[in-house]
Amino acid sequence: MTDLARDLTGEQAKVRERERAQEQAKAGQGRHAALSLDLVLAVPLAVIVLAIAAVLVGLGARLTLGELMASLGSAETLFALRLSLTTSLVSLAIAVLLGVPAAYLLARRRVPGMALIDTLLDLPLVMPPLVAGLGLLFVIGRQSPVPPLARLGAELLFSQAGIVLAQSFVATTIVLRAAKAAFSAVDPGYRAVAGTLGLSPARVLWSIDLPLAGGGIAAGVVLAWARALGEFGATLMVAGATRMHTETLPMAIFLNIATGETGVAVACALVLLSTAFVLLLIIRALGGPASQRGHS
Amino acid sequence: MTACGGRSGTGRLSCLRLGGIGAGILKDVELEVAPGGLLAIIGPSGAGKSTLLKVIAGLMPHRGFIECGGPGFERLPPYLRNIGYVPQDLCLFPHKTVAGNLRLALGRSRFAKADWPGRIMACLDMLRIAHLADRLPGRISGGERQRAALARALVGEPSLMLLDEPFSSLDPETAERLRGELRTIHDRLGLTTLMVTHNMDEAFGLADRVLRMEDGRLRPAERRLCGTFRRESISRPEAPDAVRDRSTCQEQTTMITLSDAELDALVAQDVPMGDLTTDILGIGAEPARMTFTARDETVLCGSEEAARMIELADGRVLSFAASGTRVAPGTVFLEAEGSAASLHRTWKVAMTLVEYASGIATRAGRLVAAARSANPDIGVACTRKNFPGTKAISVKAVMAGGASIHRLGLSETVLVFPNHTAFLSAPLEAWVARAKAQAAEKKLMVEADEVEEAEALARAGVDVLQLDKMPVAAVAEVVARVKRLGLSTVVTATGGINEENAAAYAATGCALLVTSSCYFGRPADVKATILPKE
Repeated sequence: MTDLARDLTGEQAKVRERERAQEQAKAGQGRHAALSLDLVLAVPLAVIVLAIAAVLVGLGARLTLGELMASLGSAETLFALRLSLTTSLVSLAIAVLLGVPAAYLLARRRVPGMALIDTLLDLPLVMPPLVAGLGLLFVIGRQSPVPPLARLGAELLFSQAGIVLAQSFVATTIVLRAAKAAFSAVDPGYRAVAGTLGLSPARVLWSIDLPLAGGGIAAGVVLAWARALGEFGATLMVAGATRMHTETLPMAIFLNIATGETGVAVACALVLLSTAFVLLLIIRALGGPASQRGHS
Repeated sequence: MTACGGRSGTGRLSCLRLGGIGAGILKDVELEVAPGGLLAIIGPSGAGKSTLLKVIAGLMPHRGFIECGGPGFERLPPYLRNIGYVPQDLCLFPHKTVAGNLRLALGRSRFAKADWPGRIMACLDMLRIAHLADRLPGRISGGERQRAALARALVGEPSLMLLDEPFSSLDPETAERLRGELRTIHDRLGLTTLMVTHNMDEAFGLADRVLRMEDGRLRPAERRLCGTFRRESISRPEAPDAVRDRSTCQEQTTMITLSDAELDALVAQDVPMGDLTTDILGIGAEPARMTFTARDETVLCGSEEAARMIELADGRVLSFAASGTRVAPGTVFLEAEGSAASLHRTWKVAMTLVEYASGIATRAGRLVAAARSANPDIGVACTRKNFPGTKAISVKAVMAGGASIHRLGLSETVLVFPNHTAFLSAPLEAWVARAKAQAAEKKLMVEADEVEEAEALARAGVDVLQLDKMPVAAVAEVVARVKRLGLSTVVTATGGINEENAAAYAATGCALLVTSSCYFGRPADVKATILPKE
């Protein structure tokens, strides 16, 4: 009886062993197949990575260190840098002052025609900046349908204020998008409870919603700043490309390449590149859109 | 109807009155909570309980009026209502510390800013979480978060507390402790409180008044005692709530002691081949509803077995009170639904079982009460003189009544009677010593019926003296002598002890009364009603 039982369990063990071996063989085949597919897929990845690296090397190796330092120190580069910084920061302030309050309203209220407004607000994100600039030019140009806007346009067009107009047009919807998403992500329960605890709506915004949405808003602000710094198309239409007047960093690259002066162009390009890189790191740290990579 | 007195913000004792409230699922809800009262609303999820709280908190548009410390409450924005609202998911602000959460709630209170830290700490202290003041809500346990949310709602001295399922996310032990504390806090602060819960025991344990919400309407709630167990949990009901009297409500008495086979056999004795009356009347398929009602004050026993019996016959038990529950006359303690055939099949056996078992439990309960009125520490044990064949349910009944079991049988205890000693020729000291050595881990109990004999046995070293049919004075004498001798012999009294003389025997100072009297007497009186289900 016990012998029989032992035989039986021995037989079962053998069967199990065989099954396990088969499974392992199958798993091995599976792994093998997956590996060869991955090798094929690695080719396009390598192409992309190499292309980016080539761009970086191409820019970096263009000038010797001495030439680079000279170009960085040139009056034109410094002017462009200063102008880009001041205009982009002013634009950013405008974008935040308009975008964040609008986002708070949109995140909390269901208004009729919401879908239409939403689509309209998304349009500047996909609209080519050149087209946006063209539109701005017509709205405040000399033939503007609204005469007061034409008078305003006389002040703004082809001036440094025009740069701010173009940049803030682009930056505002970016801030608004990010802030709306951040406010919507805050559990409305917090807002409700804060109300019952005696916090007025303004204090709820200040003490609850802003701190909780702060990270997302900040990431949006940094992204908007990066876009404002690199803004070219709309600026070209509204403010023109006048050397040492409306010459932002992108404009300086355009003007100097057009006249064959690679030094200043490359210096400005490297400044933009390194700024963009720093901003990217900041966005990552804030947990904004750029950090949403597959972690699984 | 009294007018709502007091002013919101100063008088804590404001009453709450609602009328004609309609919002979402709510239909014409009316209610009133007295100043300082605690009203609980029970009901299934989705019935509108949380919606009602949101309406009162000002978080939902609605029809109807709300008065709280004056009319026009419904027109105030939430932040002017001076309420303490604890939602089901608590909503502690994750970016603020526990103390920071409380600080936010003080902004609009009448307390001067200089008093805030003291006020916050006092409130945290009251809920025993002062040591967590500087922690973020994400870094404390569920029970601590619950306390923090209660503290935050209380700190501004609201005139009305609204609690939404305050203990639903906690383990039963923590929930029970917090329930007790909430009741204490409520009694101390006299806060008008409205609580919603799906836990009936919680509602009846905490609240002054309980209403039931179903499909957005409020109606009076019936108390269903101890258990509202669903079908699948009948075989292992939850422990009864601590809020009720523990002395007659012990956990072990709520277990089923009879197996399904035994219950089937009991039913089969009564209905071996079908229920002829129900069959010839042709009413078997009608949907029916049955209730068991106690006619007198009763300590229940056997309700689990009755419920299981009904279920084995395909009835559906909606609720029943656990064994050990003391119910008042007129209390419905079991409700079931099913076809008329299934209920008619079992009701009589189920009811009779409950009647006999509850009779024993009720008498045991009265005996225990009588004995403890004279000596709160005395034990009361029932003998094994139960009707033969009914030991399991008899033991359960004795324990449901709050008494204990003297001897379960012969195999495990040593009790020497004169019928044993008649065979012994060795001197007393010798057989006592030998018996103690033979069963070293048992207590040696010996029965005596005279004072001198008892003293001799005590001197010989027996562990327990069982004094049989001795008068009260003689028992007292034995207790006194044992004490005078400095012996640790346990003195117990037995024979003829009943509800009338239990107190007198208990007063003698003996350690235990042993009695069979609870087995003899009228069964408890239960009324069973079977009606067509409307």
